[in-house]
Amino acid sequence: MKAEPFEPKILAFFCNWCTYGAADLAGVSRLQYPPNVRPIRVMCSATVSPHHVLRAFQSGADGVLVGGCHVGDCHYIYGNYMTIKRIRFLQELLEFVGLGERLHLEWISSAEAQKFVQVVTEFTLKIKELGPSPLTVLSKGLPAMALSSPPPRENARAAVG
Amino acid sequence: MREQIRSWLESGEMDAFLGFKEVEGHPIPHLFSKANLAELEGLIVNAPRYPLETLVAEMLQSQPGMKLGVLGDETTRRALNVLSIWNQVSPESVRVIDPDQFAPEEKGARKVFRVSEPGPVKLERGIDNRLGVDAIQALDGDDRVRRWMYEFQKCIKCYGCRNICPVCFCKECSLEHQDLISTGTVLTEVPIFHLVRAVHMAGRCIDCGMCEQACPADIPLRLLYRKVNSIVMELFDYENGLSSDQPPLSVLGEKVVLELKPIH
Amino acid sequence: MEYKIIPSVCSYCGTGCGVLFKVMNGRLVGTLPNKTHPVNEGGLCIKGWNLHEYVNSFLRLTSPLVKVKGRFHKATWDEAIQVAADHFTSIVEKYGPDSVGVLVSAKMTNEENFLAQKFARAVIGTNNVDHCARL
Ligand code: SF4
Ligand code: SF4
Repeated sequence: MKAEPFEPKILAFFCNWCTYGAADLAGVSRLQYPPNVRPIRVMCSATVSPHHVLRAFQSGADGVLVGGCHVGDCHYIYGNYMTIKRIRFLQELLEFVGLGERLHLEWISSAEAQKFVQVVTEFTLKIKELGPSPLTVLSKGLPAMALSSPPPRENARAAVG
Repeated sequence: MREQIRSWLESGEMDAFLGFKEVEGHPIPHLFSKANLAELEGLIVNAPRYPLETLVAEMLQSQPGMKLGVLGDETTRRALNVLSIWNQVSPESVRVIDPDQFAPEEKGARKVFRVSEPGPVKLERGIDNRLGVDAIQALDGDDRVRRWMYEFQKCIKCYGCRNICPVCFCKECSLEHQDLISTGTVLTEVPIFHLVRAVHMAGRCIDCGMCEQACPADIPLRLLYRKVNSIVMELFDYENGLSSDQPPLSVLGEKVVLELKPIH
Repeated sequence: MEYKIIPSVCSYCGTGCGVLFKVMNGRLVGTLPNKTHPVNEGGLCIKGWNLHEYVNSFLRLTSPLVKVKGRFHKATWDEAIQVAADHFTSIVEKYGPDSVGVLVSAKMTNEENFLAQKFARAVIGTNNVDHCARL
């Protein structure tokens, strides 16, 4: 049986004023980009709490993309300063627990449809290369990725609740 | 030191002093006051660390304006500083009394709390709380996830790490939020439970180590929060408990004032 | 203000972890683990951490209840024990002693547990005795 190619699930949070506009523009300009992203429109990228990102990974996302306005262009004046602080922190934390590089932040203004397509394509390719999220793999209990180090106890249950 | 505390209590410069007394062979936190000055003889200083800061916050909540002394050290000061940044205690009401400063020649006589060494059975199962941040960073990506998932899935969801933490005081806790983490089930949703707590410890944790000692599952929580602290230090140059500003991850601009946690 | 920390033992299971109760102005407001207790060494499970809640709970039963015509009524201990004894007697007479089982608790002393099995074997006449620690 031929293995199905890995199609990552990517959750994307796009800010209403810039990145979502770019996505719209990419749509009306008929630009092609990978269908792996599931966009969620938020009013500002700063409304994306670390909770949302963690919940996404817990629920089986292979990657999370956050898009907001360029620094200085935020519709709410300083929203994206908050975004970058949180996302940078979270990236470091995820790196430490071994989920590094699966969270990406990009500033895309509503005129940058080309950049939007490029970012989405590159991020999708990167996640494809990284493979499925180790959390989903562990929860399916594939033997190759069983909790092997350190030695699990007999009753070590599948990882994700 | 006892004499000093006694005179403070007698003169009313201090309404009460929170220290330790031996009860049934255990060092138990005890409130000394003017009414029971004789008990001061039984004051002991070499006790394991208890969240005295939380007790202080509770007392000040029920009787604001009382002047309290508390037995403590540098960590206690930092914890109280974090609590006062977040409006939980008023700094002028609490005075930290460090036994090391009263009797410098006896320095070190005070038993500093340490996590006990893991025994052979624990080591065989890979339970080792002496690990450093470097040991984790030496693992590559997948092994790191496996390592942490192995640690996290031992969690019995006792909420002990949150309950004992001196700087955990929120009225509503994210760890009890239905939509974020499944509550009411026995299995802990990992890693979100621990990562949410780690995120919330950013800019708060003062590295007292009590969470790790309270964890019945031997999860190296302190290691995780240490890393969190060092990220905050690296990215924002903020050291928990030493600054009088709110941590950089809270909202820009206006100062955030959190409500007091109600006493049951 | 009065604030006391009182050492005690958790009343939930047979392990018997050491706990400290935080008592403020005569009211139980919180629980802490006893860090020097040989049993739990500073850890507690979620039930132990919330011991203070059931002491203050309005759902807590403070006197025995006897069910009369489908509704519970407050009763004294003497009444309640009498009702239980009467029912046991009639059940044992009607269906035999093996229709009764006795479950005892790990939170009782050895002597009380001994008495309970004596009660089951000698008074009721059944071997149906069990214990929550025999998991
Ligand atoms: S070490 Fe643990 S208990 Fe202490 S402040 Fe940090 S998170 Fe809280
Ligand atoms: S103290 Fe340990 S076992 Fe208890 S909830 Fe925290 S991590 Fe889980």
